[in-house]
Amino acid sequence: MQNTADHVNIRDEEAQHSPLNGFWLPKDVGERILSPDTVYQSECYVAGRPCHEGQVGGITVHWPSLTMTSWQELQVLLQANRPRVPRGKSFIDRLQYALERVGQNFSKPNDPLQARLLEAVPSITGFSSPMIASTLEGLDLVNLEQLPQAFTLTPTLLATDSWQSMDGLPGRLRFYPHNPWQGLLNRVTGKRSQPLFQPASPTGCVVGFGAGNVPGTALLIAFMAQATVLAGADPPVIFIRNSRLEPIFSAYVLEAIQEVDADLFCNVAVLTWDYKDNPLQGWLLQQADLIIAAASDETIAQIRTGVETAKSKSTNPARFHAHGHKFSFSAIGKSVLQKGLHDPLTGQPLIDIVALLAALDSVFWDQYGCLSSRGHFLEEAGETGYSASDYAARLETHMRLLASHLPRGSFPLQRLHDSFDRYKQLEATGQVQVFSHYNDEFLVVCDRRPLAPESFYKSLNDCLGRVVIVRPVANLMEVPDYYLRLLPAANLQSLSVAVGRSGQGLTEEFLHFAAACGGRGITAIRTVGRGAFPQLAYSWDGLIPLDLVSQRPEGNFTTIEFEQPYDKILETYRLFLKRGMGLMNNGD
Amino acid sequence: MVDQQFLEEAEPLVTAPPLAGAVRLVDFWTFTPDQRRVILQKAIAEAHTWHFERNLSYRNTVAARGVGPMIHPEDLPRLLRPTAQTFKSYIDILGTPFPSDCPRLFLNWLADQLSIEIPRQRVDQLRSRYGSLETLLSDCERIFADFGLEISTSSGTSGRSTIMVRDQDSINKTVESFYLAFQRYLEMQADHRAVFIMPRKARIAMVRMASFSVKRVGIPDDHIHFTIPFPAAPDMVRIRAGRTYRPGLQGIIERRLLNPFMTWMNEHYVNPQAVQRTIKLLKHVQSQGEKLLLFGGWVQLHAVALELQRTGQIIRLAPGSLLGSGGGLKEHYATPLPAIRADLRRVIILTNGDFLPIKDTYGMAEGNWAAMQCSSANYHIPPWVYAVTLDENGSFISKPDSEGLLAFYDPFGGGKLFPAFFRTADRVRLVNSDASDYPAQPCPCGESGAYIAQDSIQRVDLIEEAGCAAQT
Repeated sequence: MQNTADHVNIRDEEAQHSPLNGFWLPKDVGERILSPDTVYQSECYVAGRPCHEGQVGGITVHWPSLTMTSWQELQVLLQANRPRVPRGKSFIDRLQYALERVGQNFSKPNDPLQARLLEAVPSITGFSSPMIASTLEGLDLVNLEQLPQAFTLTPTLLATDSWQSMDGLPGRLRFYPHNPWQGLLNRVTGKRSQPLFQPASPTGCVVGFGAGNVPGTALLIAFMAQATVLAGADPPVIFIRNSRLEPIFSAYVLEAIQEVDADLFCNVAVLTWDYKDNPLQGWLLQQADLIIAAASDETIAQIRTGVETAKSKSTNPARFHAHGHKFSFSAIGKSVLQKGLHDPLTGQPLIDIVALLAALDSVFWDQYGCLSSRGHFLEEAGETGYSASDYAARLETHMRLLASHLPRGSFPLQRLHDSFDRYKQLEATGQVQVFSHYNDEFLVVCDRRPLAPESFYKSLNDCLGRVVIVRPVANLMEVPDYYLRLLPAANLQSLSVAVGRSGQGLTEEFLHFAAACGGRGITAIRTVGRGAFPQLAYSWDGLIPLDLVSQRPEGNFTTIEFEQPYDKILETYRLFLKRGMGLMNNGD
Repeated sequence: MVDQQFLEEAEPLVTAPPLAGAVRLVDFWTFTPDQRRVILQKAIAEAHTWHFERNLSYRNTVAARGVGPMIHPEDLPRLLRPTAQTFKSYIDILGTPFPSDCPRLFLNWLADQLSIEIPRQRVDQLRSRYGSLETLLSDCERIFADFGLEISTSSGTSGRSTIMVRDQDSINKTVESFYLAFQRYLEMQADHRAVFIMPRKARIAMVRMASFSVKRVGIPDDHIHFTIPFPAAPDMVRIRAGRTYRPGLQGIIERRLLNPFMTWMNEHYVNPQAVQRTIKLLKHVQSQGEKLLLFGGWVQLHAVALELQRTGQIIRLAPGSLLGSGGGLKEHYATPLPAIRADLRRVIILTNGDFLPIKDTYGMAEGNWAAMQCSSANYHIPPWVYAVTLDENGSFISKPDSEGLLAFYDPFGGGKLFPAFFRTADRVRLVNSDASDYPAQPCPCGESGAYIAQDSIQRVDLIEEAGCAAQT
């Protein structure tokens, strides 16, 4: 791991107490760029917050402040490394191999890299060690095998009208153009069968921005930017701005991958720079053919301004993929709430499986991640099925189980307590029921109150730190027709669903529901339990892998990531059981 | 922190209602620190028991937290209710920030907040709907006139008012509290003329208490002035704040018509009138050689200073005069506080050449006390208030000098209507916290006891955490 020009191996005992590297450069590049004269900035963290250096329990992270000359030299070196990057299927095969090896190393209890990450990342981010460990163990739940197929899709303008198959990938895809007349125009002009995408200019340089404290955003951007080789493109030079709030996870995983295969990301630099450093930021944005920004809405607006400025000076303006602040939800259909349903393999009642997996979707990243489900909509099943209260009671049981296996991070409890107090007071209305206790580090509430838009919005904003509101609905269509309509479309992300019957595929009814959700801004629909493990072949905030190498009309994709939802739920449950992941107690 | 044995062995201070006549507020300046602490902790425990038995809202809240009628020392943090929520909970429970739309439900909510029984059947005397919050609150006061209830609100600049009740007993206690603080920290006597840049008629709690308290000091009625020419009804304040409007057509009228009109009126008539009236009074005080207390918001005081500057006037006041302010800068204002003070001192001076005292006060609608700024610019919390800071998990910070959310227990001055145990929305640096066992560090001004360090008060309604892409 590069510390200065002298190579310092993180596995070295002495290095255990050095500042950790909150950046990553390929080894050969780092040896050329970094020197004893390199100036470093550092930040110290404890319990997820910046602290004074030397504070007990504090973890210090540093990153280099490069001069403009060094940046330009860096660009030359990364460009020179591009031919080494494997192309096409070779890239995926070698990446999977490297990740398997990395995963094997991480699973060794005495692996010093694992130990250091499990010590440092919780201190830096505030998330608990078991949460971080589960993520490391679950890296291979992100299916890379599907990624090459995603680049061979050929969606047409038909996708603006109806769900389209994904050519060998499970699920469906639909496109929602920003121009509301696009669909009609396509029909009138007879263009519906024309391709949606047109080739974009070659992507010679990608600039990414990975913000927030959920580990791995920079890594995700690196994966996606590099995956353009699957489309037959040359690998780009990739600069990624690391998050100050979580600067080491991506760096260390890239380092671990490099130890297995030094070519995979030899064209990538993960560094930190100041957004307000206008000369540097301006230079980077001018180099970029593609900009991927996962950041707050305010930061994205700032970057967008920079992109516009760079665009005005360029003959080949960059494409800008923005991933801002998002909400995700869960929707539980009455078909899975019928009494008597159970997993034939384990005997576990289906309602418990659904509640457990839905709880996982809310618990991962303590709802501070965009993917974390904030509210669970539940279609009441009548006399033959379980009620919202029944579900909420089971949800509470499983949230309590997960609290011991995946403890909440070191985030303020006061906010959680305030939510508890507020909802407890609301029990006086007779329409609210609190299922957890004051001392629990989570809150489960069943809220039947009709809510004005402002109140609904406020209640969602309160769903942080494991506050889950179960909202009964008479019909699942209330979810898009009323609730999602109240929210800004640009702030909606995933919907985790529990619907269907054993052996049943995607029904017309479900596709109609999914289309309505997509029309409101939901961009990814997956089954419960998969919320924290998005599949790279599908939509990420309305963008699919083809968007990395192609152009299309403005709008968003919505993808459904499964064919048989009921069976997928059971598959997910059994997968988690099999892997252990420290989560499941069969029969709980 | 707490001498449990002492608490158990000591005679009860009171029977019921809590602490009535047991201890005078002024006595607290004579107690030793240990005496004070034990008395306060015992009083908190007794007040809790008393209110637990009688106050439905309080009992439900603390019982859900696992607290019963008798408390242990470690229960103290769980007695605290947030000022940001407690007397605004009608919004969640009624489902609307406009209680005038459902007055009967509102009255039930109000009754639940009180530790006295009010006859709920009188709810039938309420209309089914009221045109404004002011008319609703006035009618509630009328219906319960025999209880001597007065309903006050917060400043309402957020558009969502805190609504709370005081009776004559709690008003008297608050007046006493403010009066003692005025005397001790502002050295006010009955020979001041008091000018408030406020409306004479307002439900805003701090306004009412400040004006009542100067009367308690002994200043005669004809020496107390209010220079804002219009009353501040809660709905007018809400509309002018421009954050919360009624739904539907009425909201459109409020947003498109009333808000711009009020803003224009404020800018072109109300504020200039208030400034002119204030200056006229300043000149009168100057000519009479009287001592002056001028009290107003920072923005209002600054407007007076700017007008005096503009017209090239300087006001010379008798020694002992002072300016007072409170409430902080709630809205964005281009001029920072130090510059406002400097502008004021350029145009208002003391005839003996001394620095014009400009004292800030810190308080809130839910508190029956205010912390006055001393000569060292720190804010002294009255000694009958048990003050602590809380960490982000709601636990006491036991350091003698700490930064955290301010929380307080006011078992003596709080009155019998609700327990005055609150967690504020203000992050402060508190010195001599009651959660600390360390010896007290006197303020440079010479006062002992808890104080909030100058320039440390920061309003924090929410503590935001980074999300997956929320921050850099």
